[in-house]
Amino acid sequence: MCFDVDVVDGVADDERHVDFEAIYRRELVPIVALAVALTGNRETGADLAHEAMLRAFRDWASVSQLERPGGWIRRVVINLAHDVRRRGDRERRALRRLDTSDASHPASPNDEFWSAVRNLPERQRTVVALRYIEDLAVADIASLVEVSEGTGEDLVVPGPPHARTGLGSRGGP
Amino acid sequence: MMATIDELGRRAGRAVLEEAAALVDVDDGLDRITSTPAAVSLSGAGGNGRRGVRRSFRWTAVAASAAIVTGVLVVVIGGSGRERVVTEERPDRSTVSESTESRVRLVPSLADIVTVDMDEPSRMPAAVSPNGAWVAYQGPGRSVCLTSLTGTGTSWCEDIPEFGFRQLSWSPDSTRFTGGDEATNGLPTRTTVVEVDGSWTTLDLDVDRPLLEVSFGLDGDSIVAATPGATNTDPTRLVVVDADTGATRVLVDYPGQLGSFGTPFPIDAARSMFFVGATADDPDAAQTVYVLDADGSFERIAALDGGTLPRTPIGVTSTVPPVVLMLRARPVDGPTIGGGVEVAFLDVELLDVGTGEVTRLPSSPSRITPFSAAISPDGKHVAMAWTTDDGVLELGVARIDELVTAGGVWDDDAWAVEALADDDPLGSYVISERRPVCWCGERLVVIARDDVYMLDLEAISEIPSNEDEPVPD
Repeated sequence: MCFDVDVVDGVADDERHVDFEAIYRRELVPIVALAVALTGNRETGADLAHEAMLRAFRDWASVSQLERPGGWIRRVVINLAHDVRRRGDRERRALRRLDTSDASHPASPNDEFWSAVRNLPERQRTVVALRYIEDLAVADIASLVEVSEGTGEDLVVPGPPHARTGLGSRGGP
Repeated sequence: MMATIDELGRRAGRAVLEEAAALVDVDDGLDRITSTPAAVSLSGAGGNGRRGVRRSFRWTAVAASAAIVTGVLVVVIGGSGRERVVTEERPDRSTVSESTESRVRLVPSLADIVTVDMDEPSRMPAAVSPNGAWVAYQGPGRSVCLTSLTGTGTSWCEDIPEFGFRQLSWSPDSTRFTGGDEATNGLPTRTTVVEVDGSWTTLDLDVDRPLLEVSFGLDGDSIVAATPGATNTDPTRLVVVDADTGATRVLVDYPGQLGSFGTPFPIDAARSMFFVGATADDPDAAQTVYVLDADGSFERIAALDGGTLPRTPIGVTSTVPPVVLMLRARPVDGPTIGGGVEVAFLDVELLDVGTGEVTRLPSSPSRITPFSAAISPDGKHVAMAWTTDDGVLELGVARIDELVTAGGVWDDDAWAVEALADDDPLGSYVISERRPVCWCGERLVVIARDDVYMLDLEAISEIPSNEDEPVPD
């Protein structure tokens, strides 16, 4: 399956005049995928993606004037996913006090990789998700998450943090 | 055959994209967004609007599976689809009172706490803009950072060598902020005005004293600053600085030595309040409180007792007359405090600007390190944030009338407490920082070291009194 993920690179001028529907149709799936990867929950990821789209629609008069509306929507969904994660942390702490099991939905069965990614530091997991879902260049990722290109390179290249969280090389099929 | 991380990543990326494609109905989603009246009416709406629209889809697992501990009452909210189910668990060891039960209404709101990263770990001071849209703070070194709290503004960190500040003060219109100068070192006293776009202007002032405290004037065009005298007998001078040109004029000489935390504190659209130490009129008072009018005239409104422990004005209501929330730290080991207090009991007091009357709320039950507090604009609630001895950042909210009723004794049941983070403490200079906890705009905001935590103001206003009917939603 192939998706058009050119929202970040090279379409700046065109996007100024693309209407919301076109953006929505083109970007919804990769944005849902990004949210699912970052939250580890399909339902939550889909809701966050819609929430981000809803905010874009709400503020379309200004968002459409941005150089990269798709980047803005991704930034919103990344922020929302981070909020969800932290809120989940709070819930898990409360549940631990109650000595009850975590009631969150299970992640996707083939999501061992993403599970490891979610154990990375916040900025790094965002960079890795953008890298492998959107196949973006480091420069575009760095621009999206507002870090220098060098920092983006450091975050996307597997290193000690990956090893610590189970992202080392392993046997493939 | 070993797959590289890159291969694993690409494979996982394709898998989650396919999963997402199977998960969404693009046409249906588009129709919901573009045809839902609630969505269309969202422009300018606050938290209610956002929640209303979210209902147009389905309840998220996030909103529907919250579990919060509030004192002895544990409330677990569960549900699926559009349904919500509220279950109450009452520990055997205590009887849940009516008032505690009624606090169920607070729980869903606390579950809606929003967290925003700061780009760099915050070093105090830090301050939220009056409209609740930004947090400005000191980053590493002498950098100044601004982080958007709405997700739509541009965040940045800039090195501003001249910006050596003790605290921050925002302009009333939230477009710029300023800070005091730590020392002159033989150079002209300076202050720096920073715009939200990251540009800044350093102003050389016509004063030869360091700026001890600074506040943006209520007109947004001037900076009010206190400058201490060279000796204890010199009066403290209040100056007004043009925020664009640096032109400085003396507004008034205080009638006594400025206290350690003698911030000129804006209290309404035309007046500020300031504290001085003992004066000839009140030789036994710990501090004397004056209200300063825009024309430079001032009026004594209260003399505060309490030995040498200074108060810090930290919040004000929008009521007429305004009520000022004051904090006072009582150290665990010793009767006085120095420049920064990290281990202390916390006294919370309310000063009625109209009558000068001081109401003392219950002190903290144990040492809290560090801490801060805020008062709601309507004067009905107090929020307090603290870091526990084991490093947990907690936020407590209580009705002031319940605290007063408690008769000076700390009552756990009066507080709805939420743990915000395990390892994200408040800064250690909280006592000299005005607003690590802020009721700004429509939100209650807590600034910790790494993150900013926000809660809708309207959620807090739902805390019921004892006579309210409990509504568990």
